[in-house]
Amino acid sequence: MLPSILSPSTQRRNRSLTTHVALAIFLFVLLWLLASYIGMRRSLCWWYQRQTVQMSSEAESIREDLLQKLFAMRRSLELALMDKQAHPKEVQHWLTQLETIQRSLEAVAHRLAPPYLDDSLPLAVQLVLKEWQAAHPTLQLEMALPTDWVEEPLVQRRMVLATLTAWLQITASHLRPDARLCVRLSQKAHSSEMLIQLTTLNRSDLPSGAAIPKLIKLQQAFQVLANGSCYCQKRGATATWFYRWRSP
Amino acid sequence: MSQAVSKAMTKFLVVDDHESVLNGTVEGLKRQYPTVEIHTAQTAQAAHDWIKKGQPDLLVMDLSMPNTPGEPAQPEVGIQRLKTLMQEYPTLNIVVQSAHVQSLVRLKPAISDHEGGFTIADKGLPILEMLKLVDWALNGVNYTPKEMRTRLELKHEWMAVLKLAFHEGLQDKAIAKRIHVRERTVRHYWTKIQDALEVYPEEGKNIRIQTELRARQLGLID
Repeated sequence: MLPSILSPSTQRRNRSLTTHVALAIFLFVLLWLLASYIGMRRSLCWWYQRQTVQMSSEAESIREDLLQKLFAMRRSLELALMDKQAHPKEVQHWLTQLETIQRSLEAVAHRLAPPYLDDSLPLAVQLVLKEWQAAHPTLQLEMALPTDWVEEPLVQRRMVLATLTAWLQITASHLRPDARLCVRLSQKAHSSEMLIQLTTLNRSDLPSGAAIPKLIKLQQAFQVLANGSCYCQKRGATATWFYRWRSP
Repeated sequence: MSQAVSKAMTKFLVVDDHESVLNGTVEGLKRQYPTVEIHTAQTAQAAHDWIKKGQPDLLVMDLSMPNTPGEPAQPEVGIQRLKTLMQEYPTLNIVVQSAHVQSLVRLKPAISDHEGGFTIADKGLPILEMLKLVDWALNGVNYTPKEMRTRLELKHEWMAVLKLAFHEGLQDKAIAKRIHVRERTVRHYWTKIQDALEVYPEEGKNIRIQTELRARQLGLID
């Protein structure tokens, strides 16, 4: 082994230089990761915004074109029935068919652009919950939705509603007849919150297993797309999810 | 109810930019009100112009429509025109028949102040339901879907009317004197109260008694 020809002070300088270079590389990588995370987040938000606009425009074309044609057809059949111009049984059959198509198209338009979302988040949330309750009549549901609400950008409102809808779908198997669900919207200065609280008879009935990773993914999607935060609190047989986001 | 109304009423205006829908609505109205003159318009501007000169007894109006021919149909155009019409003609009876009825939530304060009949009919409703809502509007009834509110919304003056009528047994004239408004305003308040409490005309039922029962059920009066 060759003896070192560098003096101890030069060796110290070199070590210090190596440390500084390593630190600089570390900081550079950190900044690069942060920048690429922010860039990715912006791209995802842009993409979601684009999708929102596109879905709204598709819903509008269903409402303005297909549904209008169905409404006109429906009136013609109803008038024929009133005037006894056609065989009542046959007309009634076609009316029933038409109503089914009309309801399906309305449901598609609602999914593409949820009713009330353009004007009022509390009303849009109320409608989603009422429809959910109609499909699950045994569910004990409590809502606390304000009348006055400072509306945030449409994309943010849409994400809040999409989060609620996804939450209901993910936890559907845990919403048993003895479970109690409470959804509350509230707003403070520049901050809004959606609280979802689920109370079951036993702690073991709370969402578990496959539902947990899905709820975590939903939480992360909410953080990115609604630019918000989310956490879950469990106390006994009650679990509460807090979804928070900035409001105007 | 509709027969009595049809004798007194003379002119309806139906506004819709979809010709086939417009024809269906007009034909339905003709069967229910054979003696009424029914006029049509396909743009917001044409409707406004006709109302100015024609003074209809009832306006049946879509929300998504162009302002003038050739322009795109937009719910915002109908919303803004409706708002203007309600300000200019506060006693006009109006039926909004649209596939965009939810957008009317933007006009809640204007609807609340409107003194004429005002009903909201989703375009997808069966014809008999639509005609019932026309009949209600002609009779000064107010009907807004329940889903347009998150809770019971009662103005202070409407509560005063409820209390004076059902605690003190006062009639509209006396109530008007007590709260310093015209008797007609009290009648207008009743239609708003009934809509808020979801009490609507029913064959063989006294609507004031139904209102009292509902108000007691909700704990608004003792």
